[in-house]
Amino acid sequence: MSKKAVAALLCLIIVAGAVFLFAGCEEEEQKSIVFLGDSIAEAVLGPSPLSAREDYGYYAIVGRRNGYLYYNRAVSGHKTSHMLEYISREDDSAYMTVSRIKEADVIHVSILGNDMLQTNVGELLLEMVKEEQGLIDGAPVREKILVSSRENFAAIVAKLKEYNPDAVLMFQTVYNPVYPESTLVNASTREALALLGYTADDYRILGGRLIEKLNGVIRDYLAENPDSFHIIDAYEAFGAISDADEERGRRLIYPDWIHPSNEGHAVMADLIQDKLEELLLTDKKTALDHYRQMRMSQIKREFPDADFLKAKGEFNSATSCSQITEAYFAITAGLTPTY
Amino acid sequence: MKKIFTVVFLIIAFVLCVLPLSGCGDKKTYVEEDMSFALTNKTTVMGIPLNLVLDASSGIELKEDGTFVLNLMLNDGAPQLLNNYFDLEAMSKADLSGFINAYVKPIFPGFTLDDVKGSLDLIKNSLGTEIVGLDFEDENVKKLVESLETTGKINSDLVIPEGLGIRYTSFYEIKTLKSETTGKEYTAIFTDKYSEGGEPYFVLTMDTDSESGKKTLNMRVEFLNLTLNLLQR
Repeated sequence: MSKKAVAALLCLIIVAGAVFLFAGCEEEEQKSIVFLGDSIAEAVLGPSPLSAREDYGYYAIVGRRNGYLYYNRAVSGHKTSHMLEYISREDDSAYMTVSRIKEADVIHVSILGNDMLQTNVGELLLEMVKEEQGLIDGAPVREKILVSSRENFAAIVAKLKEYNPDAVLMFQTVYNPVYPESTLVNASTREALALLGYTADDYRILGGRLIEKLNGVIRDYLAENPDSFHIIDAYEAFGAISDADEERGRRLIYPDWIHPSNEGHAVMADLIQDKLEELLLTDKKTALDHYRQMRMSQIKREFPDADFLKAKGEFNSATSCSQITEAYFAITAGLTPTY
Repeated sequence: MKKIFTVVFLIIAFVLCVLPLSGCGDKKTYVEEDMSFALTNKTTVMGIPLNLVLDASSGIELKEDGTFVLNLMLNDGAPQLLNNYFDLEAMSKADLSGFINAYVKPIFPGFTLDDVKGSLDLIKNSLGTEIVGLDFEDENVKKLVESLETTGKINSDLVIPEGLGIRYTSFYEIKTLKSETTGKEYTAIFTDKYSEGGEPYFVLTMDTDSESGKKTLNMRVEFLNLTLNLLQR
């Protein structure tokens, strides 16, 4: 090859390399996901410590391991009526909530819980039991709540579809947080339930029946409007975990007996992950690799006394995000984080 | 001449290859010189103007080195107002342990009323938030700390000291955000850490007041029904 040809080829390689590197600086198009709803989604109560919210909140776990742009626009305390009003506002700040909804590839919603929780849950339980025993006249208070929940829920779905008909929409069911020692069942309700023949061992079953009436808002809507959204069934998942291992079931709930704990958030993140993978909205292997790295660096950073080698071995052999979740929380159980 | 041309061309090509490596990734943007903002009377929580209890020195500092400071300082009348407003007798009977166990300890693992000072340091290290003006040698403060550490309750003769406030210290960066649907651009102040692809919890919006030409900052914390509205001093 002549000197000129070599020089020309060299120049071509250098210029091509420069173009390649410039192109590498431009952002690749990323999918975006918006999280809406209540305190379960907002994750101000839940992550422990709060400063590790981005490590434990399910919104961040899903966003980070899948390489999404992710926006949390959930608001603690919101009922369906509040959420409907909130998403109906026009953008007036850098939060750009409506714009983010309109531009999202995926919208995930956790709502409904407060429609019941902001009344006296113990009283609702008692009323349900009395209703089942034929001891009340007329419609229970619960039904009045559910009527407006259904209306608001339908309006929320319609509003989100109006904003973004192409986005994948997900609604999460409410898990059952009730256990025998739950503070949701106060002393006077316990006494009243005892008079009707119910002990603390019955509270979880009663709580489940009540919560499923609430989740019926989601299930019934979907039955009447097939394919309008996907259900992320936290009620089913938390229940299955508790049935298999009640101790682990308890660990999914925050010490306030209402919100999900770090592990509860991770379980919900894994449910969302399964759905994203089923819908081919993410790459399973890449997400798994990312999640592995996230948890490994978290153990190094926050739990220096943890069995790091054991963690590494179990994480490396895991074939799903949920296996990493189980291993992480088993290894860090009982340890106080450094933060 | 050919040699000179070749050398110059190779140098240019080399620079073109190296430049993108240094240019990849976002450089953080800060204000060009320190800016100070004061709370306006549009700053409210649950509809109540905060200037009823906050001093005029309260506000936000954006420093050119990327430091963000939020000061919320009680004004001279606030301790009396708060002492009169709260039923301290009733509050002193409340056992705080339930609340501490359900909420404070999970938020700050290691928090304990057995060591109030240590626990406050924990909060500062964790979230960058501290109580300023709290003099542990002050008799009223000593009484409160002793009551908390020995009984887990506040003392019924609590006197809120003057000069108290809350300070949040973090870092920030300025981002220009654009809505793809409306085309509108916003200048955002991102405070505290966040992961790639995400946002911090506190995002302020910077704008310009049309009358004075001064910069404004706005932030809303929806679940607290808190609106922070500030004007450049």
